[in-house]
Amino acid sequence: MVRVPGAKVALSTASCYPETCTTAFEMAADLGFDGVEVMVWTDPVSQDPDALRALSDRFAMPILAIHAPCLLLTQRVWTTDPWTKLQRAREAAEKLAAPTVVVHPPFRWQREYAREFVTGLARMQDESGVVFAVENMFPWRARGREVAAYLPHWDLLELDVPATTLDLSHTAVSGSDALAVCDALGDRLAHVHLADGAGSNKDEHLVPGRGSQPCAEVLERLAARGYAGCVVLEINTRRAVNRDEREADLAEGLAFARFNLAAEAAT
Amino acid sequence: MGAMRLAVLDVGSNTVHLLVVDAHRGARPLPASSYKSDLHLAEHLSDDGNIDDAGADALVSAIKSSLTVAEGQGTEDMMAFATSALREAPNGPGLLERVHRETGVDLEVLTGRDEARLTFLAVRRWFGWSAGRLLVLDIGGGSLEIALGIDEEPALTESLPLGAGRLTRDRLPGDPPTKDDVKALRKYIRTELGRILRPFRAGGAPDHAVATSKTFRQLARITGSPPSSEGLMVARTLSAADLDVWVPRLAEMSTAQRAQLPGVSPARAPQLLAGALVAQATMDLFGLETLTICPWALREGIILRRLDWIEGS
Repeated sequence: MVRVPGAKVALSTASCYPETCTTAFEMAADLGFDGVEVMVWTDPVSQDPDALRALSDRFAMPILAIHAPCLLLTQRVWTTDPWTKLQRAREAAEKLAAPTVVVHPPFRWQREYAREFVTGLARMQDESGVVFAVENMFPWRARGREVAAYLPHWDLLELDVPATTLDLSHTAVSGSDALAVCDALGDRLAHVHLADGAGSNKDEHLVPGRGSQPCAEVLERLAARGYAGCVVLEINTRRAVNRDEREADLAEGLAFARFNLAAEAAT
Repeated sequence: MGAMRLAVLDVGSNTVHLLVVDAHRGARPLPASSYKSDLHLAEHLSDDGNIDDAGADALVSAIKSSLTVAEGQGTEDMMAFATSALREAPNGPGLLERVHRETGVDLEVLTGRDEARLTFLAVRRWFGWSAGRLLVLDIGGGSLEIALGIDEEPALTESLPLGAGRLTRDRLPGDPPTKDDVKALRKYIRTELGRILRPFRAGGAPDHAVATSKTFRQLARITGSPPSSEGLMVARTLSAADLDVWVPRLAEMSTAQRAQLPGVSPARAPQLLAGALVAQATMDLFGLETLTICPWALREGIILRRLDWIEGS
């Protein structure tokens, strides 16, 4: 007997890059995901809640999370003001009935935002039913040096925020013990980015099982504790030469999630 | 004598910049106003290095509009000078004549060493004598200026053709550039620097390593220094460790992606990578862990030199 938790398995539109947001919805439906996480990106469709609503209806794919445009390459998407960005993400989530907004900790140059990040986020959390799940990041390294790129910290255990996203490619880069982080976060863990990494300085987002992270164990442990958040496949398929190759990686990731997100039932 | 309004007009590779200053004995050269026109002369070079007609027209019109602004501000005297873009174009002298004929402005063309000296003076005045032996670096559009010394006049100056605009145009054609081009540029920069390094290393370790120029300010900004909106008086630095982690990231980004970064305008985004490579190589070869950013540079140096003359008269 196994116990399968209520957690849904979603596809991040980022997993299909450089394919469009539209193609990502189509693939998610074809492959049998439970829903989609929209990475708000330079693709105009990803920035437009009405267009997203239409896609969600057309492919019968619920939108389970909005990833706010707080990446290095999306600093000017929607707006440059970080708080306005989060408000826009919240509005989009509310409009699309997505329970979660994924947020990165501020970059070091966003000094004021970083100073107010924890208190400001708590305030925004009070004003909405949407959960702001802050994602673990990593220090930046090169030529044997390491610098702090994020403030107040890349490490969720150093951040006093009520809800978090655990990314299993980022734990590989930061050299964190993913199982220990998963346990320490406890109920604060609201969202998971399923990926893998081999522990280089690069954020690899490998298909789960192809790197060194304890992806299967993390999923089992979540299942054992009845995790009801979302597991989102966020892998890099940029190298895929065609749609079949890309879909094969996505299908492998989905199968990995379904297979491992199960615990032995207590006897 | 009483106060007078002075203007400095600086024709660089990227911009024509007008600075209006209230000048009097002992005045600090803070601008009363500042006016900029984008020029990007580097993009108007023909294969033989001449500035093409469109570039020349843009230059004349930028100077004309700067003149109008300067007159509107009640300026009594204007010092107009040009740096590497006009210095190196074979048709530069002809252009100077045309500028004089059509605007009445006499553009003084500064040598690279003049640039380095005047920038050094501004940095010395900003940080004062307590800064000890100063090393000053400035990455322009066309050239890299280096100066070292314990006085107001630097003991050593150098000007190398390692400006961020020039290197981007000549050596980084792709967007994003290929890995091979980046590697080759890195090697070229280090070879050029290696040739002039010895006297600087022999001149004694600097007590204070200082960087001026937009390129260094942008690099300091993306690595966490306060934005320009926080004013001139806040401390801004750039560390070698930060550059080391940023250079590979910048190398992978397209121009449009670099323009997403804070403080990087679309007009400046193309040159940011070449500028970062020059900054990284210079810090590496001079053995510098941290640079302090100085908000004063060439224009302020020119004003300071001029104010010294007023005082002496």
